Amino acid sequence: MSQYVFKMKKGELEIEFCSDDAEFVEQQLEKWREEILKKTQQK
Amino acid sequence: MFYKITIKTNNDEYSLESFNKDIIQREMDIYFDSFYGASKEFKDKISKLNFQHKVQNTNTNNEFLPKKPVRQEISFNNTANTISMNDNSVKYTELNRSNEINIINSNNVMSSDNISAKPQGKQLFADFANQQDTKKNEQSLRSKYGSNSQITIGNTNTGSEIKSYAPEENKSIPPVNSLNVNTSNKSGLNFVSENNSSNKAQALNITTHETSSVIPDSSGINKMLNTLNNNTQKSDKEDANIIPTRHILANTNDNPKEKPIKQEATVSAEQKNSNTNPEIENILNAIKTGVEKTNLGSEDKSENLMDMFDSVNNIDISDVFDSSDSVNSDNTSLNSDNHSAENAYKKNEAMLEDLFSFKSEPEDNSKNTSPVESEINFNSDTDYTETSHSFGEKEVNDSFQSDVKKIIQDSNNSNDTVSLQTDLQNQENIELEMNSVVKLDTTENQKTQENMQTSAENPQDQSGVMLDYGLFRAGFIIEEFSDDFLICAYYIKNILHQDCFSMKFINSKLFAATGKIADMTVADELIVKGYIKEYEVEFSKQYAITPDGERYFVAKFQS
Repeated sequence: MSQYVFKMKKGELEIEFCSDDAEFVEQQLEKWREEILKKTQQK
Repeated sequence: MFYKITIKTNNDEYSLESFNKDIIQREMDIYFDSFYGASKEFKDKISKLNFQHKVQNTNTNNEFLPKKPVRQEISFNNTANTISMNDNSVKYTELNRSNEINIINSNNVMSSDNISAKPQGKQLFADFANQQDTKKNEQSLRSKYGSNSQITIGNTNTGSEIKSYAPEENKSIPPVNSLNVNTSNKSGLNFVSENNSSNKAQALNITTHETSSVIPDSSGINKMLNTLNNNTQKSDKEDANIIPTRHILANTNDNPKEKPIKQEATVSAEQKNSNTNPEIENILNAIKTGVEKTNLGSEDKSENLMDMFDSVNNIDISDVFDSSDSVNSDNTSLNSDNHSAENAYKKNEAMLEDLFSFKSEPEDNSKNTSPVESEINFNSDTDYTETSHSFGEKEVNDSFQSDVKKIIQDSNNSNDTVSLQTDLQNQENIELEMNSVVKLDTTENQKTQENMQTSAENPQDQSGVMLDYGLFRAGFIIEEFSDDFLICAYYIKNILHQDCFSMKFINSKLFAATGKIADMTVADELIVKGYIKEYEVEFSKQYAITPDGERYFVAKFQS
């Protein structure tokens, strides 16, 4: 089964999300992206 | 489903694993907020983000001129605090490499330098997850990542890498879009489709990791190879005079609906004449062969395993039982043997009934016995693990018949008052005895056979009125075990009417009655006293009570 790793880096800080649930990873990815865009628009 | 979140810094690492996605999701949301919210500096930068959409079609109508590749990029730039869509006409903002998102799975790796870079995360991920459909995926990627692509093929395992270089006029522009397909096995691939038009801002890496025992998705690799090869040939056919490198597609327009625009470049005559690069063809063939060999390797393993099973299966179990199953002409399997054994047992019973009815009515013998004899299987009642004598069917039947006749004749010739008619009245017991005789005839226990025949000769046995030794000895006060032995010898001679006995036989009686068995010291003691005599019969020692022994018994226990 495929295992998906989603990694975000900011300087020294790194968040890595790992799962074999492709749907959940996709949802989470989209959620984060929407949040970033939402925050950007709110500002 | 498995979920894991890891927070890393230079000095520390925190990891949380769970099968509950809600827990992980909550954790991720917290850390995501921290990630983007905790840093005031970064928060301030995010607040200044804005979109700058600039789309410029730089396609030129002059297809003979080197085309400036169109670069359309949405970059999330931490330094510039902007999300911008750029093309070649725009001066690019240098990307802060600290901001990057990688999407990886165990078989394939895909990374994008920018989370908000095109294609958008969801579509990017969807494309990646659906990459099994290589052609569709490639077309999709092609439409998204631009068309002026360049392929690099190499073997990452051997370290050899054959690169194809961009045209000279494009070399100054660093690649922006790349598609990497890496496999770490020996037949590894490294496809790099590079857009030569801009600085590196986006990268799509697809890597497969293989182990020797696992064949990941060779079909997917083959599909990709075929697609790549087809596209390569197609590209070559269409753009045979473009560039001396391997092009997948030449769609330089970002709009996938528009037709791809041919690239122009100088090529060598050799490349003009060939639709495909033979070097790359060789590599592709080698890779395919490697993949096929990998698959074949697994098949070979399976075949080896099958061979092992076959070798086990080829051990003919019937051979093991062959010696004990020689009468059965069809000794093909144990099951059939067992089945024939059951049938033979029933037929034995039927045959005995027929034989006894033959004795009563001799004229019916031929009619009743012949068909049964022709099918009887004597060895079926024997233990399959024993090695028994092999008899021909006729031989066994003759032997059996002669034994039965002998037994019945002996019974008739005996002076006892019990007649054959009495035997027939106790037919059930006699049949059991006869079955025992038949069984023992088919085995090699001649001594037991003799004993049983002797037992059959004894009218008491057949009439069922034989006095048990335990009951016989109950009337005596026995203090020593040697006396028990002597009493048993007297019992054998005068009750069982056997002139002699073996140690085995007398011990069977003694053990049944007293729970003890006699050894040779007991026998020797009585021999020395003259109560028991010893003599050899056919290489076996037989014992009998002497007249002195009988007198001693009478004097001690019956006086």
